[in-house]
Amino acid sequence: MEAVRSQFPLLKREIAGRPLVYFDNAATSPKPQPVIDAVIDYMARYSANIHRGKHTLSEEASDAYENSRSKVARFFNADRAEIAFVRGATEAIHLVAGGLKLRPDENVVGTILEHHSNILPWSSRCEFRAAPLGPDGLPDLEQAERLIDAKTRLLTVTHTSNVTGAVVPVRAWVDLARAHGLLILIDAAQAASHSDIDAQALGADFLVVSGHKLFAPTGIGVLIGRREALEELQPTPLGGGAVSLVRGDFSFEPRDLPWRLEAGTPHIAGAIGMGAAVDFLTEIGMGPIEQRNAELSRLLYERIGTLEGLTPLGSSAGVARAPILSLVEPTGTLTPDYLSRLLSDSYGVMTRGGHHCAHPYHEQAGVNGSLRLSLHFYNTEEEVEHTARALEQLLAMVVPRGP
Amino acid sequence: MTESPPRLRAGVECVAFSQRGLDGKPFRWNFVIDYRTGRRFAVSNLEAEIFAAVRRCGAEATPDRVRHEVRVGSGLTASDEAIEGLVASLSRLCLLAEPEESAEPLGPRQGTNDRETYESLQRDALSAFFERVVGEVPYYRDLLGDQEPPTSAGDLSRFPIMNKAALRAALPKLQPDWLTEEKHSVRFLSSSGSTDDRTQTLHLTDELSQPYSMGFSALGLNPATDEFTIAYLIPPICSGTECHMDMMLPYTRRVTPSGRLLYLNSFRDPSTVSDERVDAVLDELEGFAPSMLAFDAAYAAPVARRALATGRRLPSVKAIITSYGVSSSLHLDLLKKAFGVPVHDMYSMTEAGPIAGSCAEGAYHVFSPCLVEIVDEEGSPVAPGEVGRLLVTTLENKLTPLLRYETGDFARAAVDRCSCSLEHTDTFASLEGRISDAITDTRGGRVVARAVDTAVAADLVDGALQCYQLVQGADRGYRLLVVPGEAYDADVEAALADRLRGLLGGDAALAIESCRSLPPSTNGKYRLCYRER
Repeated sequence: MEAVRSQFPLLKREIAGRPLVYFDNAATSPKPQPVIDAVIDYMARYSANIHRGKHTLSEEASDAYENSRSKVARFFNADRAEIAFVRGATEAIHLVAGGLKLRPDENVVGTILEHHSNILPWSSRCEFRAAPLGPDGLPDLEQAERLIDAKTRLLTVTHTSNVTGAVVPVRAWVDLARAHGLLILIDAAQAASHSDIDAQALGADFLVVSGHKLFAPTGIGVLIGRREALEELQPTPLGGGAVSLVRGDFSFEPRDLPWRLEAGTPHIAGAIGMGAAVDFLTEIGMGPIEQRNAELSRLLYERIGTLEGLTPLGSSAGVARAPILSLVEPTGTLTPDYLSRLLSDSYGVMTRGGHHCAHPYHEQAGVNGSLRLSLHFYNTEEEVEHTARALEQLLAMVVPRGP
Repeated sequence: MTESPPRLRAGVECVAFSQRGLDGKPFRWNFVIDYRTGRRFAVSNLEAEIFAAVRRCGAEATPDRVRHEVRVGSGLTASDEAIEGLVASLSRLCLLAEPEESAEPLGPRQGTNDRETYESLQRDALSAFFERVVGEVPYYRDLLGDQEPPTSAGDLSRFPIMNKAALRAALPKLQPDWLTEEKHSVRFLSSSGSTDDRTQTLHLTDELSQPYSMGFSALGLNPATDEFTIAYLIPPICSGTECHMDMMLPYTRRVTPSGRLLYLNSFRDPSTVSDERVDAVLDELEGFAPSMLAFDAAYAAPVARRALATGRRLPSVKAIITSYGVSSSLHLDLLKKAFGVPVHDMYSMTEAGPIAGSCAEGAYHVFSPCLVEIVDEEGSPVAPGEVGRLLVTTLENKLTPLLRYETGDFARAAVDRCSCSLEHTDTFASLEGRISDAITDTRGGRVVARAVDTAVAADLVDGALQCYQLVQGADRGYRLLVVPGEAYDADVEAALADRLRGLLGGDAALAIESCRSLPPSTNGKYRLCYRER
């Protein structure tokens, strides 16, 4: 573990007089040295635009960019042509929503567990119908099926909740979409670094991933799609790089997939960094990472999810989950914001307080925000214990345990 | 008793404070408080009842009537001697409206708390503080357990200074043992500092409002009266992090249930705020008609400017309290001109509560629950008139008590005692700006925000500048960013260049740039100067 941790320069930083504890992986993951090196190498040695130049640097940059695409494709067991680089999962969903030319009288069926980024791209174009959660804290598949009608164009669901860490059995959702002849989009922004995702085996039409939650730089992500589904999309936006020809009357010929979906100069450094990130994860192995995260999740829920004075959100036994735990202090004295600040400033633990871009989820849970602890494979049992003791100390100040 | 019934002067109240003694039994303190001068006089329970009876009876306050009121109200018997004695004392202390309210100047030299008594009380409070924190607060028990208690405020310099990082790291250990043993109503507060500076502190809910009332009282303002209504116009954000507060909240969510406190809708950037937004503030001010205003001067400046430009009627207030750091005299002068009332600065911190307030003479009077030191880099007191780091010791905060806490501000030590009614209190001459905002002159000497403001804004042509910021670049060059006013011209610009070269050095590489806006920093506060890093 020390060998892995030593690859994260961020973890060497001290806050509140001790090495920081980074429990905000669901917001963005720390960057390992190989990713940092890859980005610096591009910036320092072959910083050039891709595809259009014929000079040495441009060819080197183009090779590195496309090589990253191949790496990402291998990582998700997809075809190169099925991987479009985008800014992140939000842009990927917008690319699909815009490309489907949704009409206001149509609808998309999703769930109440979704991140805002898997609600607003749909609700701004058509009706968004949210399936409620079942008693196990997972989206209710039967309820979702009842929401489907003749005007439904697409089914969407998060793979792993960014609030509760619950892993949704997405294969069943894919089957439901198939049964109704619907397209399906899986939001894998949170899942991609936690679960070994095989795009082909999953069979979803669209899978969206944010690079920065996968140990890659911010501003990069991928839209992974079945070739036929991607071809159905009307490319938006259009521009340089997305077309092979613009005629005198300004009509045009789109390029092949995936480039037609990558108008303008892309985030080359980010894409190269994402290639390095999947190399980093591949070297460790997604199997061991999944196993480690399951252990951390169990520890997180047993040690911190059971603290007296804190209520976990969406906790339910028997549900597989990433090591993500959201909590509220019911008396309201320790608001999520204060808890997060106190953990940061007095204990060096980086967490997140707020709604985590999931207002509808918090509203249905009847709480105004929560404190989220989100771990990853490099976090340690000692860090969980340190955080648990910090929370116990803070809780003791506001909720005395005396007679 | 005097021939005509006594009539109490406005702004004089008798206030009771309940406390528990060491034996656990409650007892009562009574103080006659003169809110116009800040004086307090301890009185007995009987005298407090007589005072209340005199107040209730008004023009009918004959001895018989007062005696009757006291008996009905409290069951106590007030003799003629007791009634006459109290009235005579009130008369001697100029607390009666007659024979002539203005016979005695209210400001200068009315303090009855002489310096000797003040220092004696301060020593007692410091001794009690030390005993308490060493006895019940783990942080101080570990740090100071084997040290002799301080014998005076001047003796504090042998104790360690606590900076913000230490406060953050030690927060749990800064709470008394009894906190985790009994149930208390507590609240966390977060300071407005940026990431490096911010702190969280824990407070007893009951204690939160009391110090602010004391702050107002010490400035001669009585927050206990029904007439005391206050409108706040302050930065809408408190840190650079996500804020869930909408800035345009409906009136009902900004006014307190008592109807005495209103938060006006503020602006993200006062230098670009629209006339419509400012007019909405003016409308609310007119409707609410506060007796007091509490402002961040930079945010209130557009309101004052708009009122002056349009001839808009402003509410008749008793005073304006500013806070939130060193205000530019550009803005302070504008507020005085628009509202026509004195502007007092209240120096307070989330961690400590109100620390000091400026009087009509401009001196900062330290409020009694605090001790203030102004020290050099070694932690020793600076000479009178010199600038140093301001440390505060909070004598009464039960939770998160602070000993020699580094506030992050520069202040100038007083040279002479102030001549106002609070002359007996500790004072300092001025706040000089945030330590983190200080820049250097071309010879490497420290230049604080107050010095920059004096150079830029003092005696400047009216309406020449709306606001400004002096930025020292990483290359040690300087840029004065100005949002010009209607009177800004080449002469003003040349004068500003001269003044700043006088401050920074004749060889200073200085550029003056006109801008359309100067947004505040991420914590919502304006910085008059800073150094790029």
